[in-house]
Amino acid sequence: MKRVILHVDMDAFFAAVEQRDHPEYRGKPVIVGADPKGGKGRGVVSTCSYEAREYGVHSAMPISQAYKLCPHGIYVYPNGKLYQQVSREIFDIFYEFTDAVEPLSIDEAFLDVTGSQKLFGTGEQIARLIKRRIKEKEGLTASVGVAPNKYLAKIASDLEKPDGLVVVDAQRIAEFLHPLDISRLWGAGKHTQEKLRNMGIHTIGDLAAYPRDVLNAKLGKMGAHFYKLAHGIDERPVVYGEGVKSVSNEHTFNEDVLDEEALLQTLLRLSEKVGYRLRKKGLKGRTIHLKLRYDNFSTITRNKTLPVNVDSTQKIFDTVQRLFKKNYQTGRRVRLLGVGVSGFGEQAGGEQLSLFEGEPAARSELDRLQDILADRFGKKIISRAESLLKEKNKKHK
Amino acid sequence: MKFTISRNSFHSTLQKVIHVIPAKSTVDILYNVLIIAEGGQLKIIATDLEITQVAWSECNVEQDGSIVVPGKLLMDIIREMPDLEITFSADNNFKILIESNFGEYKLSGQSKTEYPSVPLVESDEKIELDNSVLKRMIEKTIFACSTDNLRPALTGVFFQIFEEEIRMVATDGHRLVKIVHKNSGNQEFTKELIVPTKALNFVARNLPEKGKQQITFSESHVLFELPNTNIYTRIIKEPFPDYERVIPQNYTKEMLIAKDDFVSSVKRVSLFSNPMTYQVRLMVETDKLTVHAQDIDFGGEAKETIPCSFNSEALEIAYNANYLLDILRHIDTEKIKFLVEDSDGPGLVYPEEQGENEEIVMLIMPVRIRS
Repeated sequence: MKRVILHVDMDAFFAAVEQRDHPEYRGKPVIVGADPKGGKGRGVVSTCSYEAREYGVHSAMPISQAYKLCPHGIYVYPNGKLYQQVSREIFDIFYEFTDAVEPLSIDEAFLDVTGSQKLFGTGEQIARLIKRRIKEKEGLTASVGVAPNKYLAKIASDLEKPDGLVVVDAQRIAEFLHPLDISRLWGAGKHTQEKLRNMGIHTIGDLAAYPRDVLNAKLGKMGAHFYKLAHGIDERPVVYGEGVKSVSNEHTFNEDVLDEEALLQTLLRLSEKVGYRLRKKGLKGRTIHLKLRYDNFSTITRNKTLPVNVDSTQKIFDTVQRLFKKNYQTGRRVRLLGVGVSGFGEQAGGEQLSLFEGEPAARSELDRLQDILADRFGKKIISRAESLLKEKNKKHK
Repeated sequence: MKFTISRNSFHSTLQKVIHVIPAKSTVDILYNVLIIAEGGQLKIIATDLEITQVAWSECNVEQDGSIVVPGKLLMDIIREMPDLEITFSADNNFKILIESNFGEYKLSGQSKTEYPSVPLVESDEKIELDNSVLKRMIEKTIFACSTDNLRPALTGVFFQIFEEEIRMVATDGHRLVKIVHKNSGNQEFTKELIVPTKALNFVARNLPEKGKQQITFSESHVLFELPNTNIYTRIIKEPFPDYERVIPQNYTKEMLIAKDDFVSSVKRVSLFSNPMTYQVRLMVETDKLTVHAQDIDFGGEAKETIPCSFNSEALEIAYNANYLLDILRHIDTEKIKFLVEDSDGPGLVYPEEQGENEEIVMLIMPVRIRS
């Protein structure tokens, strides 16, 4: 399946937020950064409005130089907390469309919307929706690149700034890429660019047409890298869900429990909770944890690492149940049980495909429905029959 | 009860059923075997409620009777004895006395009233198969079964009995084997059922090289009648997936390759694959196959190239090496036909030539390569 990646980049983010909150700044050169102190200030420009850019001011420029270029500009000291708040709200918009959001900084992110298309339309339609949502909700504009990979999406988002939208058709990558200057090459610094220009390579098209072995000989390892980029190949996945190291839930019994069935039932309920939270966060983990505390407070923790990342309640419960059966000392009273999932990194191998794709998917469908109902009516509205039956039995006893 | 028997006869009879005893069970009585002495015969029965096995041998019965005895303990005693005459007796209080020239051993048994009864399998639906055919069909299929109890249908082998052929199919969802035995007599009925893998293991273990065996099917059970032992197994009452649907019919891209080369290469290269995934990549080109594995976590990498012939443009496809080896090992011909259409679809594996009265096809699903 062809991937659809979005690169969303806020336009002059800090300056735009300032202009939004201070109507008197609108239409004027706003420079967010260090205090210029009448041209003697130290420090740099953090962001500047498009009006300021017309004076030649750009981000990372020494603030004193900016002051020289644009002495009448509005100089604003950055309000980090405010920008973070706005950023969070914008990221929340991204998460409305996909969980696969890789933040690059406070104001830009990659989104893998491959799986969101059934719900929201094509990559281009999703990009428009996101832009509109940001405009409506935050009063800000963003530029979006839509492409089959991260590299192309990032280039695309930059081409029509501000308020841009550029779609790179998977069939027309060369057409898009080849006219571009080699300064657009990811990983090509000034030095490398100069080297390439000396080789007669000025555009990405020049680079693509260059013999591969000569490129390798002249540039070494980077040669292969650039060769790929020149052909629009970039296999890096959108990495998301980082930061969270594990998701776990625990339950302490009101009275210590001896009944193995009751303990298993609790593990099932905890697995449901953990599964639900993982799916909400768009995380899949590989290592399943069991925590077991006996009545004398002696505690064991055991874990098992699976070959593939999982988020399904059933898979979590299977594993945790196995850990429990292997480690629980029958006849001992249990005070607390815990279930956790960690290991969210990229798994070592690809996904093992299945002959009867309907069946495991049907189980995920169960998870999905359960999640929808839980969202709408609360988490108690639905649970697996195994845990329901047990509760019923208990009441009858 | 009282009977006399040679140690070797006792041992071999007990040996047949001992593996049916479950390793762990909540029903304590299943750790026992039921011993019955009557009509000049010793009968030993073990069950795990799914599978029941009965074994017998001739012996000298002085007094008819039956008793339930801890299976493992009995086995341990008999195993360590030399081949002598053994006298086995039990009194009305279920005290057991085992006597030989070396000495005597006392242990406690219990009444047979608590022991699960042997299933009754009475039916006209019977087939007869050559031992060699049955053994082969079992061996070619059971490796592909699932051990996932959440998908009970896949933990057994699917039998399909037609008037003129018998099919056995096994799959765990990632690979599949279908073996057809043609011209297998004239059954007057058709039937489909799933037989647990474990039972088939016992059957294969107890099958002699030569001869024919009878298999009887009732609504709930299958009975395998073997020399000096009967194996009863419950049928798995679950729908088996529509396997025919997933066996592609229109493949045109075919690789022909020497089996031993392929197996050895995959074995060696897979040592360098990630120990969690065993992923190996195959690059198939018109005249060669490259097997490649890489373990990013630990930095290992291996690559081998072996000759093959492939009638299409180059194709890259990744598999779990263990699944792949399982499949390849079960092909008996020198060369293997391997059909693939793309890197996401199933691979179809055939022997270069099908055996007489036989048709075998194996499927393996790839691992998705990141695009």
